[in-house]
Amino acid sequence: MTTKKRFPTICPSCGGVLSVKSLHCALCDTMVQGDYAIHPILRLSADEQQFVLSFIKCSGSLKQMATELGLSYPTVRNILDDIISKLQNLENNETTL
Amino acid sequence: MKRLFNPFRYIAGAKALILGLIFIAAATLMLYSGSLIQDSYIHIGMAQAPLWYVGAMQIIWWLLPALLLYLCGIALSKSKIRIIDILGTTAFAQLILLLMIAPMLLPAIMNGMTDILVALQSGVTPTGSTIMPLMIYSIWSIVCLVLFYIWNYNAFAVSCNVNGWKAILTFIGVQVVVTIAGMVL
Repeated sequence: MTTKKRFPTICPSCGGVLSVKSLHCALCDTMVQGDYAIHPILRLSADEQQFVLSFIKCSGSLKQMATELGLSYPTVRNILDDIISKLQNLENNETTL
Repeated sequence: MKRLFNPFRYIAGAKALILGLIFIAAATLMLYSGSLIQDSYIHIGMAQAPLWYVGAMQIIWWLLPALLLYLCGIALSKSKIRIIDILGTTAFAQLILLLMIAPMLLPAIMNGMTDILVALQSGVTPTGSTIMPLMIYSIWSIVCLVLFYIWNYNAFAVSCNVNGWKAILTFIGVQVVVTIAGMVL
């Protein structure tokens, strides 16, 4: 049985923001090491990332998204506005760090 | 349960407005057929009025709070809000008023209200058989009233993307203004 792992963005020990230290190629076993910052979109929750993905797939049409998700237009717009506000906060925090 | 307390997560805009206008029209016909009228925001009284007047009162007591909430939404919300959403959701919330009005047309309730009025005027104590249906209806109307406020609050919160204390206090403020307007007009 395979469990779907969640990409960790917050340190479970101190609560700090995690960065990527190493990357691995599953094909040739190459390992790349460095210090890569995690993009703000990857720091959104799984549901929020899914929403962003759907938004792009719908060519940014909130009306189409509302139909596909079975939600009302203002509900979809509110979710998007909340994500925008969260991304702005994440970006602001990054620049102040 | 989510749908019961907040249907506006799923319905808003033109669709909600069309359904809402149907609810308002149905409520108008019901009130007219029972010689009743919505004479203030949440008060139904007995009156012989022409159909257009009953309908106009229904429209006024839906539009007044809806437009006030829209103006508050413009001032408070960071989102780009649409008037059709607030009009649609608040119109859809009139369904609760319809559910509140419908039992008033039942003979037991209608006769009970008339008997109470007669009893009050003549100083006679109303009988238990008169009071019982009215008691049951009172409980029903309280449930409807609570749900009416919940739906209207959620209509405002969803349509204008406002929440927390800011939304609650604004909503209460609008309800107070509309209630006072109902007493004055």
